[in-house]
Parts: sequence; structure tokens; C-alpha cells
Amino acid sequence: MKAKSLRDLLIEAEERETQQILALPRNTLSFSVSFIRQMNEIIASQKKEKKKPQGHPRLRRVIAVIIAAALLIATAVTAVAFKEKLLDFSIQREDTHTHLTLHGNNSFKKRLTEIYLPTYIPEGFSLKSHEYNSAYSLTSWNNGEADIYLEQSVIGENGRSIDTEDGDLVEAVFGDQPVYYATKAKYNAFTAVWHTDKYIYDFYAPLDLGLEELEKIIASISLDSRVNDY
Amino acid sequence: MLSFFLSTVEEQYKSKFEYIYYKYRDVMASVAKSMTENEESAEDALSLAFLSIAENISIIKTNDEKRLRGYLVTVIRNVCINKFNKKSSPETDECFADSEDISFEKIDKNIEDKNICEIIIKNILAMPEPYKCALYLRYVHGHTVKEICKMTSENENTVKSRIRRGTLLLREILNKAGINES
Repeated sequence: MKAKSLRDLLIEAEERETQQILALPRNTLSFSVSFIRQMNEIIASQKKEKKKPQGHPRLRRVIAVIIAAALLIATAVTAVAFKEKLLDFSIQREDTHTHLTLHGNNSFKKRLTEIYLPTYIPEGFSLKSHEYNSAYSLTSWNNGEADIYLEQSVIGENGRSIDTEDGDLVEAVFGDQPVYYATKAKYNAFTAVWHTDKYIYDFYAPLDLGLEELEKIIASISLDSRVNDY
Repeated sequence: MLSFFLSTVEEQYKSKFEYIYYKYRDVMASVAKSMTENEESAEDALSLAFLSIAENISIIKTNDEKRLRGYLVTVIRNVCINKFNKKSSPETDECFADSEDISFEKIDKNIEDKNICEIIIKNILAMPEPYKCALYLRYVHGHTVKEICKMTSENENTVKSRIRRGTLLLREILNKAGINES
């Protein structure tokens, strides 16, 4: 047997421990909208960081950037196959998720001045929390088992990533509102995203409510109050 | 040639964080849920772990999936221990001679006997979590004390103390297994 150093043994111990943990029955976690929002923000900021020019790039990196730029120009037509515009989102599909990016219009004041909420909430659900600031409003309802979330954010440099492992984004019109939605049966999750001229909305609800009920909630979203006290 | 160009472009622009997040989110969530009292705490721990991963993304290596997976599990366990199991932390143990200095390199040995290796691994697995995690981060993943401080939101003294105490325990394990310190 090949002699092992103490470091080799630590590596083996960590690997065994990881294997033991992975062999345990998987505990699933339903992620809250605020968690998903926070992760989306990190992903967006990481991408922004990535795109920043480096102070002293290595030659290989410079070459890669030049090649990338050349390829982007040369394949502009092909890129349409990967990115398309529906609503005003730029959509980019990956293996397990889809990115929606909405580039903000600076011509209006970027502050939350109105709060939109659904007038219809399914029976059994009651208001769990409601918070807002100058950038967004986040409201949730709970029925003792599951949550419904609605987040309304002012349009800025908005990026969203939706889990589309179970299937592609679906384009639909709920009431008069075109939306994108995706479902994930494993987490009993229905996620919808849409925007109006001022705001971008994230909606999350249990999938087992049924599409008809979910549509009814989204279609009932209307002006609830005007705010400026932050 | 085109594939070379494309792979270079992908390497340049693909978000490492995004890759880690989507691939390992569920595994880390499962670990967090098993180590915390409720879903809220598990999500808090996960959030802290991903913030730490984002902050340290430039030093995280993704070329070895097995090691990356081990690293991510260690990170989330470490967060759960630091944030949610403070009372069970053995930081107040009196059994360590704090004045004693020790280096990992000094006790490192090449061990050929398979049975002794097995005994040592079993004892490492039985070590208190904070010391074990500190040793994994320092000696398995090669992070500096400062990097571990950033990852764990602990101060330098705590991290140094955990590594030192972990190393002392390793020496004790080696001594018990008959591997004498030179």
C-alpha cells in the first residue's frame, strides 16, 4: 500500500463524511422568495464583476476577450436562437434554469410609489407579512402549510433566474397581463414573472393550488395603495 | 479550432457562483436542514454559506468535483455550527494547553499500515466539528487563516485556535495509534 500522509487521511475523512451525508435521505427545503431574490442578486453581481475589465489582464485573457468579441459579432444572428425577446425580457436558457433580464429605463423616477396586491387570495390563506421600501414591496400569505409570495420591484437593472429544470418557461396571459411562468413539481412550486412599465413582479405559490386559481390570483392584482413614507 | 475558441469564451464568462449554486444548492440545503432546528434557520445558514462562497469565489476551485462537493458540505456545516450551535461549541474546553505551539508539518507522517490509517480516519471523523472543519479548510482545501476568517465570519484568533487545537488532537490521535512524534 502506498504510504499516506496526514493530509491524505484528512482528505479521505472529509470525503467519507461527505459520502455519509449524501447517503442520508434528502431533506428538501422550500426556498422563500427573499432567499431566491438574494441569490439572483448575487448571480447578477457576479456576472457584472465578470464583465468588468481587469487592470492588468494576462495575454491569454486579452486574446479570449478579443476572440469573444469577434465571435459575438460574427454570430449575432445565431445568438437569436439563444436569446429572444418576449415581454421586454431578454431570455437566456441554460440546462436547469432560465435567466430573464430586464434593462431599466432611466427616464422615470425609480422609486416605489404604488403597491399592487391581489384582491383575490384562495380560501384558507391569510396575510403573513407585508414589507416595503423605496425599491420593492414584498407580501406573503400563508395557509399553515404553504406560502404565496408577491414581490413588486421598481425596474432597474433587473435580473431573474427561474428554475426550469422540469420544463421550459411558459408564456401565458392571466387577465390582461402577459406573464412567464415555470413549475417545479418536486418543490410544489409555481413561479411567475412579469413586468409593467414601472414594476417587475415575482410571484411564487404552491403548484397544487391549480393553474385556474393561480391565474385568478394574478389576474386580480390591482392598485392597493400609494406610498411615499419611507 | 472553433471548439477551442468557444471553451475559452465559456471559461471567461461562465459564472462560477451560478454553477455552484444551481448544482449544489439542494445538497447544501439538505445538510443545513439536518443541522438546524427549522426551515428558517436552514435557509439563513444557506444564505450565509452562499454569501461566503460569493465573497471567496476567486479562490474556490471547481476543477475537481469531488473536492468541490466536500468543500461545499464543509462550508455549510461550518456555518451551521458557528451560527446555530454556539452552545455546543467546544471553544471553552479547558483540556488544551493554550500556550503549547504546534505545527501540522511537524506531526505529518507517511503512514503505510492500512489498519493504522483506518484508525486515524475514524478518530478524525470523531473530532469535534469546529476543529475538524477548520482542519479541512486549512489542510484539505489549502485556505489561509485569513481566507477561513472571511468564510466563517470568525475572528483570526478563533480560527487560529481551532486549527491549533485540531492539530493537537491530531497529534494525540497519532500518538494513540503508535505513530510517535519525532
